Amino acid sequence: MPLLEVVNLSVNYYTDEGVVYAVDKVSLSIGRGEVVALVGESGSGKSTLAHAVMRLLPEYAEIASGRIMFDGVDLLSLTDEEMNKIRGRDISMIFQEPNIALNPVFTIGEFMKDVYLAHHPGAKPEEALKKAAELLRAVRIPSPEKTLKRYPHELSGGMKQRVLIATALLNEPSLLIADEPTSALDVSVQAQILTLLRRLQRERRMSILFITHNMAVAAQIADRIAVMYAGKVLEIAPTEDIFYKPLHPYTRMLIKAIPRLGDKRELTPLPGTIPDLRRRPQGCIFYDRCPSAKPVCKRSEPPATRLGNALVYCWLYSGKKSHRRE
Amino acid sequence: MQVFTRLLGERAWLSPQTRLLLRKLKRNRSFRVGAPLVAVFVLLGLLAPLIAPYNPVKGELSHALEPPSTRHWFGTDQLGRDIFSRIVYGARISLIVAVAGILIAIIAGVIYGSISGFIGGWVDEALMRIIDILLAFPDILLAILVASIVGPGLMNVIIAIGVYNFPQFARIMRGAVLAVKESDYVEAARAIGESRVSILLRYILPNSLYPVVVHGTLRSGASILTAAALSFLGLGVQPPTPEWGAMINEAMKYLDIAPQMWVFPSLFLIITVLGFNLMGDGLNDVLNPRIKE
Amino acid sequence: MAEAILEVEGLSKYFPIREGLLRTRYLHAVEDVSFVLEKGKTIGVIGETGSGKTTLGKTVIRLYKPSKGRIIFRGTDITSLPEKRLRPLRKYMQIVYQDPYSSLNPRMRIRDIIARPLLIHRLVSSREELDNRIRELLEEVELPINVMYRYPHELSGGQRQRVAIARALATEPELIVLDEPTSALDVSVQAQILNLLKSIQRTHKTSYIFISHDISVVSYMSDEVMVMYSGVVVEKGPTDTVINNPKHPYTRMLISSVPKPDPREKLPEVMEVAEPRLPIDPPPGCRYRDRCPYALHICSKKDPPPISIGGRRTVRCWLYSSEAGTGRE
Repeated sequence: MPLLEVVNLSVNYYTDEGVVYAVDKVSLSIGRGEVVALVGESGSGKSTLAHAVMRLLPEYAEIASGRIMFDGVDLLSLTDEEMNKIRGRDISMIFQEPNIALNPVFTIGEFMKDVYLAHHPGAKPEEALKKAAELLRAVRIPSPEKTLKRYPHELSGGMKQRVLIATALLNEPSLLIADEPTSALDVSVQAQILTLLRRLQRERRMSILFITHNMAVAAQIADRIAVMYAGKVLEIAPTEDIFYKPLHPYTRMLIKAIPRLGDKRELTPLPGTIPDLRRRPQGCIFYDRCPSAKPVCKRSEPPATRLGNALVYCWLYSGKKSHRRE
Repeated sequence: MQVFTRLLGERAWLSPQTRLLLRKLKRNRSFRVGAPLVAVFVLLGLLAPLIAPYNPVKGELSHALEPPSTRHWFGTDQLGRDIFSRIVYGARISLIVAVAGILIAIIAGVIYGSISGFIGGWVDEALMRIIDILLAFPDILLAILVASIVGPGLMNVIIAIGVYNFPQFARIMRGAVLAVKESDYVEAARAIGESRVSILLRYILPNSLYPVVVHGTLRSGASILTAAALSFLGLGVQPPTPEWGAMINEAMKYLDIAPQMWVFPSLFLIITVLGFNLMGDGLNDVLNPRIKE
Repeated sequence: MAEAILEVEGLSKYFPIREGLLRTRYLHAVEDVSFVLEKGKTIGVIGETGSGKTTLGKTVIRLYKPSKGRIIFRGTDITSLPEKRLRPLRKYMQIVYQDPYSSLNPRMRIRDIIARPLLIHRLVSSREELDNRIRELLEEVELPINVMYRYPHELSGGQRQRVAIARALATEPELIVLDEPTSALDVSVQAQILNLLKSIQRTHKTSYIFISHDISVVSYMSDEVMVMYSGVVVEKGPTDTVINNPKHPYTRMLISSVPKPDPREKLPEVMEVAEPRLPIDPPPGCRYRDRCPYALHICSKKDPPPISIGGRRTVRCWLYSSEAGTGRE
């Protein structure tokens, strides 16, 4: 049984300018010890999906339909109290901006201790601090005991992100949700954090839902990649397949639009812009920009088609011509 | 007016941001309660000659100190003047005082604050120290001080209100200018070769005015109250000019026998100032949204 | 032989940091940078946070006053030119910023944003000419004409960036500083903008200073590249050679840190746990020495000068100097 299974999830935002269909009937699963990357551009709904799993959506958002099965339990059916027990313990989250999570008036030690004690009521503070130091060591922070006494502003961006990773691991979660954890970091620090996460994940057999707009970053850490566009998942496949045998036209165009080091060939950009998320078209969401669009694409939404280990939502692969793989 | 608009780069008041803000305002509870109250006040003031049934200044002594009746809705005062008419004309006086006074404060404050913020350096420091000194005075005392220097009278009340509100606007404007000065688009303006004056007028000013507008609304209510206070103390508007504060002053001698003389002006004062405050709160909510976790 | 439109010699920019009443320390944001930019070419500046790359770009076009060194633009020494004399020259040098959400005046319509440089430098003589020129520019950046009457907040990030480019192009500049022009944009939009910039360069022979932390993007756009660390250009040379055969230890570390969009090429585990420090009153010596696995004794004593290593390449590293003594590498 997969650790996390998102079934037909839809999330709407209610704004001054109407309803925004941020996530539209998305299904996705993550196995135990597996790393799945959610890749998409702005407006794809990837961050919304991650927040929905943690039930941390803002008040003007609503889960319109679907289930989020975590270890067999539908998270959407839990009370706030029950969810609070899971959040921070079984499922942990790290974000893009380390400054938002760290309260500047508390030391690192106080912060981590609070997180530990919140899920281990009755534990002694010394135990919490010991565990905190242990984890700071695991994330390669030099002088962990000294760092516990420091304040956030004394640490660099990369250090802060390490602290947050350590904090996320304090209560030994089985699932870590990482929302663009390296996007605000320099490339050298990003490399440090990515390889660190990779090692920690392997050591602890932890599942990770890794959200990023950067395909190259996803290639580094993910076992499988789910490509999202304008609220929908277009393709989910093992990482190698996504890069070497991309199925969906959007995936292909995305890969061709990435500048590669040492490659001066002209990039092929995607024409057009992302659609208005306030409207849900009858057909495929990618119809307007797709070079391979057919009449059926405009009329109805493509169903999921399984091709080997990949799942793709595209009319090119459905119907009678289901063996057409190019 | 045309020239003025063109100089400022044809910035239209109804930009899409403004339109969105208006929509948000319509939904804000404070604004929805406050704005109509202010609207009523403004209308009363503007249409005073059309609404008031009697002459507010000349009364019929034979009908002095009458309680509210069908002839005199709010009753009459000690000189037989119709209180309702005086209230309505009082609204006009308060309107003039508030608008004129605040406008003076805003214009002076905006000029002072934007020059200070724009030039920066020790000029800014010096100018702001002067503002600090002025701000150290408690509101009312400063107003009283000014009023006692310039003497009583409507014009002087306006000046007093202008002077005592000016430092706040200067400071707000300067703060806004400092913030905007650091924006990329201001630096970009330098890069394309804009002159300093042009940068101030086209780029900095239009983007710094929101806080001033919000504050202006809030202070309008407060100034009406201050003007009333000054008049109540005898330092402001002089009789027979109908002004709510002055009316309350005159009512002091007739507290028991003719409560209608102070009840109505007080009521109108309270409601009007409340209206302005609520409206200002609403504006503040919409223009300075607080970040929710 | 292409003509040089920009010559920068020994450029330094220091910012005072006031600490307490008496002490003033200086942030050496840019230290001793020299390069030459030819007409129609692009020089890329690669660096991480605190490298000084943005400060360099802004100082070169005199948005800041240089602390040391010289800037010769179109044959004129603009290093200490007063603002008044500088202003007419501004039509030849422009800048495009990273954040399309903050580089356009929110209270000005697109039309006016683009019109301003034309009006300031008196490049049009009638309302009609102005309108035509604006249309021309919008077309060149591939924006629909009706965008003219909109406000920046009504446009997407990519569209705003195009407006910023149109504004920069209005005066037909010979030099444009592009400060992370696509970092805030999606991958698909980024590709569109980069291609647009390339085509503009081909048409107008504009020179670019392309600043970015994204090495892949810089290498895609640039003919020559400068790698900056802590205010210093540690390596400079033709893009291909620097990227394929980096010499400076920092450049090597940087290039090896770039994640490849290829799952078969995984990043090796990075042992280092370090980040650049701000160069405030830096002591003498190479600024990278604390992190450098090859640091020699001399690296903490003397600033390495730019050393020519052939092929129009220079490196600031004692490893490549005969002076250093221990011949390593």
